[in-house]
Amino acid sequence: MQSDQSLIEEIKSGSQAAMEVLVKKHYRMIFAYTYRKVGDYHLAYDLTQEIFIKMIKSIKNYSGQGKFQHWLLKIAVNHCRDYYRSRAYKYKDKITKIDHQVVDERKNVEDLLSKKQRSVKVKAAIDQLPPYQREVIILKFYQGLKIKQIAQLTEVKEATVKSRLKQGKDKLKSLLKGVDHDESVQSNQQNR
Amino acid sequence: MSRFNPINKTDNDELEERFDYNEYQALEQELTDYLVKFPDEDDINATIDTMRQYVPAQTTKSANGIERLITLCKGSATEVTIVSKIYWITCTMLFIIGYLITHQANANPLLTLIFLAPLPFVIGLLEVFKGREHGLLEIELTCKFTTDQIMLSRLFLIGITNVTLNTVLTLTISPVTGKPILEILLTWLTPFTFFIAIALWLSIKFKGQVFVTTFLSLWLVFIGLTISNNHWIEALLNINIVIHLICLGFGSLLISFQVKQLINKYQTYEGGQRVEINY
Repeated sequence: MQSDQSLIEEIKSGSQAAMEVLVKKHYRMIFAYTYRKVGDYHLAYDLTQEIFIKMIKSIKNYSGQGKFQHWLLKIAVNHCRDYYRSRAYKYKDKITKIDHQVVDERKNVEDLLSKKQRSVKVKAAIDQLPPYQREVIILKFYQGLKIKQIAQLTEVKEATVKSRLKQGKDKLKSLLKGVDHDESVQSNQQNR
Repeated sequence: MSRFNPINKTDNDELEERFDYNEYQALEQELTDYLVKFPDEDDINATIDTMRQYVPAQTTKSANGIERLITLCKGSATEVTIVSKIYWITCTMLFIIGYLITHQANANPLLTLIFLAPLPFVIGLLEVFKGREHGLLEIELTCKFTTDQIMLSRLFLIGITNVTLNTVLTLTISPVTGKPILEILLTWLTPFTFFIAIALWLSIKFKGQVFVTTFLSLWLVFIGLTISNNHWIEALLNINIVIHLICLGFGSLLISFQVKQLINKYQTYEGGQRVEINY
């Protein structure tokens, strides 16, 4: 398999094929990050596309220093942050809050029917984390990055990353316990 | 990445005293349940298609002649295994037939050489275009080279094969004819270049069967006309060396023009961008 660096060189000289190979190589990593960050399949798909467009537009500026994967992930981190600052998100967030009650009801039914109940629960818990905590949790747990690398990517101090991780982890723990607790209460009620 | 990245104890060291390792493991276990449904291949390809417009414009590689020749040789070496065995067997058969005829007392070795000289190349052209004939150009595109690169590599391969076989045959008949090797080489090389140029032109214009039939008809007409007229034979075998060189130059120009035409045609082949899957 060709290295990222040689693919980038080929892209710089206009190779469509090298672009295709590079995108396919990193697509899952970026999509997984984006999906876990925004929690919505279609939105994650659109954001992933935008991230790769950003990547290709700025590929001429890629110096080759550091891992390409981290450079790409940094674009993804920044792009997701931009999304959370965008009007589109604020509008969607407003609508979501209004519909929260209805959605919750529907979600409960879906959750009960889903074979991947556990996945849905963890997803729901992660979705409830504040964006900056969610970011470090995903980068640490799912992308397997070191604290130092997360600090570089998110442009904060290592201490801040650790603190966010701690807060995120505690919140996740309580959220997941809460879900379990709710579920057992619901189950008990149904049994009665 | 759907795969979860587990944290080992060493990784956890960097988290210092803020985190309890066992606690982390428990959380990890919970987080592994978060599955990601990835887009299917069509959706990923749609993203790639959207991105195509943002790929920097193709720059012409400023490779020098030697680099280009090396690339061409490498491409041709790859093609050796792809070109069908029937082609290699036919070439060997033609060589043996040529050798046997040229070494018979009643046959004119030079004329035989002139007549047989372009045949390996013409048969080889069928190999060059076999992807087109079988509608397999799209599949051929799935290797690391473009269509024109594949064709050029095959042309180079069959050209080299043809010239090598003819040269070996020339060396074997040189003692029989008593003529200098250079003169024999020029005698077959000049008509050879014209035949190759015509064959290339026909192969670009027509598909396999039509091209072969047309070329063979022309070839037979040429042989018929030549052997039916002693003056023509004399003229063909005793052309002045200067005229030979001029004709050879002109024939070579025609070949390069046709090769350029072929490259232009298949460079713009629909979807003929570089498509590589063999990484």
